[in-house]
Amino acid sequence: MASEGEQTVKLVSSDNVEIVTERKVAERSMLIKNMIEDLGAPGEEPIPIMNVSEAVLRKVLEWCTHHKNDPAPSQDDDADSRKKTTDIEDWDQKFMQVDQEMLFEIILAANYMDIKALLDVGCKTVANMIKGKSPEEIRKTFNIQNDFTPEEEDQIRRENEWAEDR
Amino acid sequence: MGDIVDSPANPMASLLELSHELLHCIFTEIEPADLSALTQSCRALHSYVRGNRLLHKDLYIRKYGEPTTLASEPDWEDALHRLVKLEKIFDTEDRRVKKDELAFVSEEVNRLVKTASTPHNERNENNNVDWLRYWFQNTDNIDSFLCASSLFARAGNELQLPADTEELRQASAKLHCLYGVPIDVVPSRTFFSLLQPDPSLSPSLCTRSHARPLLTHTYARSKVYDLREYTDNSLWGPFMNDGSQRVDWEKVEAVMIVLGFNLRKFTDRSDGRFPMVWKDTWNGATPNSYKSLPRISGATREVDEEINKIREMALSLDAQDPYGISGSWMRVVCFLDYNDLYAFNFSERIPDEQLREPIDTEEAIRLIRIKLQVTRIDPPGSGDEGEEEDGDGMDWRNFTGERLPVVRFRGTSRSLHASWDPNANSRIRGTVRQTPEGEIRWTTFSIFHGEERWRSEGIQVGGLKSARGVLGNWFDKDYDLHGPAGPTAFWKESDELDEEKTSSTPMAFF
Repeated sequence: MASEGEQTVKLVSSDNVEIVTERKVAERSMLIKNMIEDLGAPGEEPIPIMNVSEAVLRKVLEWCTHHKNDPAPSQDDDADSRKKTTDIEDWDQKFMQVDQEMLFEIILAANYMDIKALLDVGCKTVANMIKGKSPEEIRKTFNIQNDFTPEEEDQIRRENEWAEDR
Repeated sequence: MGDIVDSPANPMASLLELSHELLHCIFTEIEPADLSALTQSCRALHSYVRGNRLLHKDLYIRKYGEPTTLASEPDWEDALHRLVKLEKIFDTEDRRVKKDELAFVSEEVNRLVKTASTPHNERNENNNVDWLRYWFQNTDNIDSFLCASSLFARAGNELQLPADTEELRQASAKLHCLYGVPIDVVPSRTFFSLLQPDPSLSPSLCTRSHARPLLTHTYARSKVYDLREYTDNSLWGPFMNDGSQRVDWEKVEAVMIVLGFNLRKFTDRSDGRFPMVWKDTWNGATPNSYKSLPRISGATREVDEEINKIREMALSLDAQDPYGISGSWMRVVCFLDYNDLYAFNFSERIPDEQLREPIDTEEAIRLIRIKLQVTRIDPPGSGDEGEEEDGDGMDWRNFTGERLPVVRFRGTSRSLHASWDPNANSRIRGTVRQTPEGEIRWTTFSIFHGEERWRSEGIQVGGLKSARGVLGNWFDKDYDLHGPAGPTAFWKESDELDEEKTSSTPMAFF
């Protein structure tokens, strides 16, 4: 039997495309890791990734490949490291330069596939798109309709007095 | 996980389509102030953010740390909004805005200090205090919030001005005390540029004292040694002159400035043998911030016999003492030469309301190690010894929180200076109790050859078991209107009683 590092696994995207990848890469996803452990015989049976399309799955696996040698996330220091690092490393920043739909697809996939570090990078990327923006800029950035009546707008502006620049 | 969408493909993934769980992940990464723009962008985000307790709590804790000693769960949303507002006030360059918000700033800073997690935790971090330190490096904030007591009507630079009401002047004096490093003419930014070395001047002309001859400590000294401030209604201590035992923070502030000035001078002259105290801002100003020095092994000294006897009786009392009295404390006492004090107070008659002139007469300083042991614990509100039946006669109706007992102590007091100084080696007794305001009040008596001579009244800055310690006044125990009197402070060094730490005995040169 091949050592774990050289093993491959077959993933199947929601649009039924089979992707073969290194087991080590795929196991950045706790969902896949747990499935492999449950199934027993890795590589033989294709693993369905039901909520993720081929394009998104390839993108996610690209991230997993780059990060395949990162230390495995431990449940304990997870909360801690999230708390401390507000920065995104350069490679991840470039990786996240995608259109907004893809960005949210990656976040959804990372969440579904249980890849905490990727989810984190995705959330921080969106957070950075919000930081320091005015309501109008936020609407523009995320293509949001202003559905407040003028009266509501007035009232909400008043309840946000605490955040006004002084 | 995995509960995001029903359909396998996500036709249009967008911010508003995300689950609440994922919105939470994103919004806990933004700055608290960004919540405002989010809620104003559309209904969906408004209704997601407003009233979202967990989101506000997580954002608060991420940014400011987890508050401790909370009586009850705070309204996280309101707490976060207040801190954002506070930050905006700290951040603005508009001094008028700062001036107008002194009351708000005072309330919030007091709350932050009170609920700051103590640096005992494993990581030694204390977000609240670090955050305050950061904002109070800003000269505008120092001038606007810490230098607005009555003292600054005469002292300080042109940007340090007293606040409009007595309440605000008191609030500012208290902030200055909590800040803990006496501000003695911090030049404003424009002032700094004026101070750029001018090659035509000799170096000594460029120092602060020459650039600004009216130093704050000279005004503080004139307050501290003004015997008119020592009145029965103020207990001759740092209290309001109305018998209420409310702390007069302007008095505490003046005591801190004068002692700080003398301690700094003493450190400068000690060739590094006496370490600088009161040098870290906001340090030790939080309840329970005192931490005993690690036990130092070494030759144990002959322990005083009386102390030993008292200790045996009292060990069980320590466990019931909420104030952390028993142990070794460092005390500083300053005084004017009696002729100087007399001349300052009585050589000229001035109207009651008129303040005395600033003085820069050099004072004497004494550093004293006191070793205290709890001897007795009485129920909350007990009166002084000999009058227990009557209670303390105070009005406790507005008191909130836990009433603490009245604890009495005894001990010894040993000068770190030449051992022949008869005033520094003595016995000491005293009482610790709460005031109706909830402050921790310390009374001490110095006993020489069996006779009580000096008394002191002080309050513990930072509250119960703070590391900063007690600031107040000493005076004749019979309240002699002609003095002497002066400032004093003491802070705890160790829970141990029987070991001298050789390292901090700096007096060989003295």
